Amino acid sequence: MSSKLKVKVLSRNPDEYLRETKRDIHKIQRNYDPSLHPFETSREYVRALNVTKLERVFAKPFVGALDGHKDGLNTLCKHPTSLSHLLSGSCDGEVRVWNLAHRQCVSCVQAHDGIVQGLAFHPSGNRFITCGSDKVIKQWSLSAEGQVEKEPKTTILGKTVFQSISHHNAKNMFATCGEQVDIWDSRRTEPLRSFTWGVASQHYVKFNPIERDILASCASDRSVILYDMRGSSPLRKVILKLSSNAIAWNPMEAFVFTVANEDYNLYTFDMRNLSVPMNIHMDHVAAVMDVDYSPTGKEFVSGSYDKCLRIFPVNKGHSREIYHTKRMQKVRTVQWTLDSKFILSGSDEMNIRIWKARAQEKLGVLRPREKTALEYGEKLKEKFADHPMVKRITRHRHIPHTVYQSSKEHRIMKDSQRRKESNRQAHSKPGERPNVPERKKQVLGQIE
Amino acid sequence: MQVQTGVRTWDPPNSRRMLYQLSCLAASDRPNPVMLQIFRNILQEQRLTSRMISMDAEDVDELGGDFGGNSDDEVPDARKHAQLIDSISSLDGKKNNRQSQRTVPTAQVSEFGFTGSNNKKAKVRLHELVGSLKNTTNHGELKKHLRTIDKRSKVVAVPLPKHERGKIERSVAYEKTSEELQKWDPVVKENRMAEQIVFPLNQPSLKLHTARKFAGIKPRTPLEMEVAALLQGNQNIPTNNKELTRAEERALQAMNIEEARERRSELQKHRALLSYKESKAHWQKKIKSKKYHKVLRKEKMKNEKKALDELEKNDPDGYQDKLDDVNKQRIQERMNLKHRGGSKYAKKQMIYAKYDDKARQSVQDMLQKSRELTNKITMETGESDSDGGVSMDSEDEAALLDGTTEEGNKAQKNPWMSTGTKRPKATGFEKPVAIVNTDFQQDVLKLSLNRAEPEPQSDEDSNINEIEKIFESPKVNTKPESKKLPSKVSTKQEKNKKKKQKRKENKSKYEKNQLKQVKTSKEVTKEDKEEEEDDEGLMTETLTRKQTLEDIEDGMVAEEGDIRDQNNSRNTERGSRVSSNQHKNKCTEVQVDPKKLFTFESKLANIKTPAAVTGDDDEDDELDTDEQQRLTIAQAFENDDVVDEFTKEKKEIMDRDTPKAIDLTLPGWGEWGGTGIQISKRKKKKFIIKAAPANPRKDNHLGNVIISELKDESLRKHQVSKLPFPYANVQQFEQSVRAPVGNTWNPETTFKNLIKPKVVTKLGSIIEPIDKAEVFKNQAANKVKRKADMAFKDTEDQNNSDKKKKNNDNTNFLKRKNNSNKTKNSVKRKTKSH
Repeated sequence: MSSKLKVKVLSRNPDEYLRETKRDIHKIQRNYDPSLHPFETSREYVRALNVTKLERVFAKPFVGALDGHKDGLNTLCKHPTSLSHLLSGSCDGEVRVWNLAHRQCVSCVQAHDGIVQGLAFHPSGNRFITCGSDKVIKQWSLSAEGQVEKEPKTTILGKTVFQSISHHNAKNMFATCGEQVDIWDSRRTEPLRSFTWGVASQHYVKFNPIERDILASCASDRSVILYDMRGSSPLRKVILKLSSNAIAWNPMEAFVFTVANEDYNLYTFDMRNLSVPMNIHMDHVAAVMDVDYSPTGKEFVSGSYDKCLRIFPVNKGHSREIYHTKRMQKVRTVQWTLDSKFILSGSDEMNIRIWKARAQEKLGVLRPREKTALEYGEKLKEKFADHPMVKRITRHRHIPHTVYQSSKEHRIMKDSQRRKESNRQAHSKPGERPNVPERKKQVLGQIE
Repeated sequence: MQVQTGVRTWDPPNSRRMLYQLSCLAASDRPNPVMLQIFRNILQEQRLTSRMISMDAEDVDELGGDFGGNSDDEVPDARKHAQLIDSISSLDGKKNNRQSQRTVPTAQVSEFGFTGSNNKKAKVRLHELVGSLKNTTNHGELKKHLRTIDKRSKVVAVPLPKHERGKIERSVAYEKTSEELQKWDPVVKENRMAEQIVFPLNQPSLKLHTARKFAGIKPRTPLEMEVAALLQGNQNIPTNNKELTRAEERALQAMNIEEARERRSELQKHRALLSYKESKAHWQKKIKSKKYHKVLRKEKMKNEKKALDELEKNDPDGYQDKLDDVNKQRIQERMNLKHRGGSKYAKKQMIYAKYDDKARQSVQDMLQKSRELTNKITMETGESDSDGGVSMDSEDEAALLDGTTEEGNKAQKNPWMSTGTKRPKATGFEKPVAIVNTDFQQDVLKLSLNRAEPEPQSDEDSNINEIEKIFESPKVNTKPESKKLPSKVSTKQEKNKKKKQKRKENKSKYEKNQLKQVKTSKEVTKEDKEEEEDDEGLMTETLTRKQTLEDIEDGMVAEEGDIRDQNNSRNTERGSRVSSNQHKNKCTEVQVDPKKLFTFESKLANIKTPAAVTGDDDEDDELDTDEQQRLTIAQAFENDDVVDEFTKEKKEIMDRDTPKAIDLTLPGWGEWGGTGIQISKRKKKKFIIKAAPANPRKDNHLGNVIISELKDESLRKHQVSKLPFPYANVQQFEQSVRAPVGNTWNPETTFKNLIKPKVVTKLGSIIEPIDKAEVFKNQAANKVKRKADMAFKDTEDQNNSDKKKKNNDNTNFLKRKNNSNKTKNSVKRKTKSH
């Protein structure tokens, strides 16, 4: 018998590491043992930092402007079934229909004498209602391409000016406000129901999109009033320090709404507990004119007289983003598009502007790898959000000089007030000057 | 036509009001027949009013006539009469707020007539009204009814003013709406907490539907129904998901007799074993042989030790736990007096010990046990051995048990409290032993004193000392010994030689007092000194033995030198002298010079501790507290040379941090190589890169501080300075940062899960507001489903109960099955055990 000598030979099979075609994907073998990767955290930190920096590099929020109106914008209304259509009403009574994708005006109609106060779409999207300062409510029909018929379908002549209009989310009903809040059936010329409470005139009304029979209005006596359409009387009134300009209901949370206030702040309320707002959103340096929720219900956008838009997370007290351009004047109205990707703003200088909701977001379809990389970046940013460098870079914004100066001024004022209050507390009998939280200070009271 | 007068028993407007009230009553409450009856009666009565009123008028006339006294000749003038009445009523001075009167007779009654009546008196009560009814049986019954109604019913309240009503309406509506909104809470909460929400919410489900879903036939005709019922109810039809039919399953579960027998026998065996073990333990416990128990115990100990060794090898953590346990036991033992004469039993035994050998033995045993427990676990360093001598050898143990060596009793003492007596070590360490002049009688006396009065010092160790002393032989022991020292200790000694001062060891207040005595008796004679030495046998603090007066004086002077002045020359002198002493005795102790150490010492010394706290006598003065302070510090740092260590450490750090020259020379490169060849100057110049001089250290001029210069300032801006919000502690936060996310460190699936975004939206699709109908439809469907399940369960229960009657054996099983499927196994066992 001959003994065979076994010799082990180093062998490499090219099949294991060479690609047959260019598109072949080989599995990269990895050892996940943490002891082999001592610098994983540091490496991820560097990645996070880079992502944060790149985000700022790519942050180009402004998409485009729609010009054509001959007077300042007063209202905007998004189409309920089509993403590409937009209605806008200006101060000269003109209503325009826009195609956002083409950035063109599709049709235009002279709806009112004077300001177009309110615009509201029927939930089907094939007709809309306008009201103006000429005490008229008009119903217009709209084709699928966005063509408006030259003559209104119906016209209702009112006794007083209608300040705002809002359509019920499912029924054939809408609400207007002025001297009182009226509930209308679109087939009748008389209101079904009128709500009055006190003598103050109301300048904004909004239906709840989820609990569809509930609505809220802003009155000139600094109050926000809640109604239930089914009942004969209003529900409750909450009085703030200054009057509110607009209301937006959270489209995901039935009882949450946010009001844009004259005192530069926005207040988010839980409808069931009006004595204290859930959150105060501060950052604007002038009266907030309009507010609109993102359809995901996680954020909202607000437009203000300080010529800026700000985006706030619902549960945060300060904005995550500020949008402004040199030419944009006082923002009168803002809308968040229904795909939650864009923000539309109408301002005094007759332009409608389209912004990205996330400034750094890449538009269009992403490849899977790209998507994964972006998601990973987001996660890293979230993970290292508390690290000072990351925080600093994420928060860094160029803002207009006036905004910067006045916010500084406000900060000084607030600090001094706080200091004064704390001094007073320190030098008074214990318990005599209780510490009132900021949120409670703003609500003067609620009236049953 | 009748004319009314001022005084009336019957007031038509009032009666009308009464009627109105009654009618209200009738309208508001359910109009019962009784009420109607009253109403009718009253109306009837009213018809008679005209008559009554005329009668009244006559009465009044009569009254007026009586009053005036001239009724006969005067014509009844109503107005005059009214005036008269007015004047009479105004006599009493009260303002008469009389009701307006109707003087003009009319058929119509003004409606304002009775609203204007504010007079309380004018109110007509129901009983007044009823009182006017005639006393017939019919009316009597009516009155009764009326009374009951009067008790029960209430008059309807006046409607609230409009604004009040509005307020109530609004608040009610608000409450109702809020309540209605409450049902959204779980939905909202879920959405807020959701790890990922995909918008639009109601996307059509793209599930693949199999044919089976549509294949189900619903029975319609009666025949079909019958067949379906038969099929559904049959136990032998296989259900869609299970392998076995219900009947088969039941058959499988059913009991087998043989199996049951087996099980029973097994159980019996178990029981027998148990009882056997029990009884064995019982009689084992009863065995009186001590030797047997000793052997048993030793075996047990051996096993335990083995297990411990094994544990040390296999499970270091567990071993550490064990050690900790032992340590804990030791601490507990040190804290209590259980084995050191603290217990009642021990005290008794101590009394008997003088006469009874057994008692003595038991006390000895207890002490032994205490020692064993308080035995410190020996360390590798051997230092503890040298100063404490706590570890025990078997020989020691034996000696202790024998009680032959007196030092043996003292050897195990707390090192802090030790009187300086050291046992000769079996390891070859030799230490000097102080003289122990203990008088047996004296000790006994002391003990009796202690028993007679509360102990002046409740020091446990003194307690144990005393107990031990009882067992000392009454011999006087004076053994001046000089012993060899281990090499380690001797090196220490060398170090200590450099020290300027030598100090005695002072351990407790008690001992300190003794020291003071020594101090005060400076001019003591030699004879006296011998007596003193007796005392010192109890509380001396040195390792060196003071054999002559000079020695004692030396020690004292040294101490005073420590305390009062820092005369270096003297110190050095003494140091040299002490070193010479050392040379003689070959023994020292390791000590720290507190003077050299602490600057806060003086501060501490200034703080006068109250006598009550310190327990010092009146003689104690400031000096003593000062000294005591120093002594405690000396004790605390007995083994540490802190200052030297610190300076050394600082120097090391400074050396390490100074930039060093980089030597790039390659030996043998460019010149001759080999051993012993020096590197040329040229090469040195060229290849040794000199480091730039370091910046001056921050702690250069700070003697007692080391400031680390390693900290990199440039890193600070990347570091988190405050604990971020949701985290409770730093560890939590660090952990969150430490776990990597990337796919370099995570498998692909994990990575995918980790980077899942919180909100996903679809490009170009409209996101509708959350749909109430959709959300609550699902819930409603769930509810319905749950109800159906319940119903099904009920029917099943019923079926089972039917079977229960048939099959008594399987009842238990069936019940269990109905309750839950989880307990199937246990059920099986149970059925087997039957």
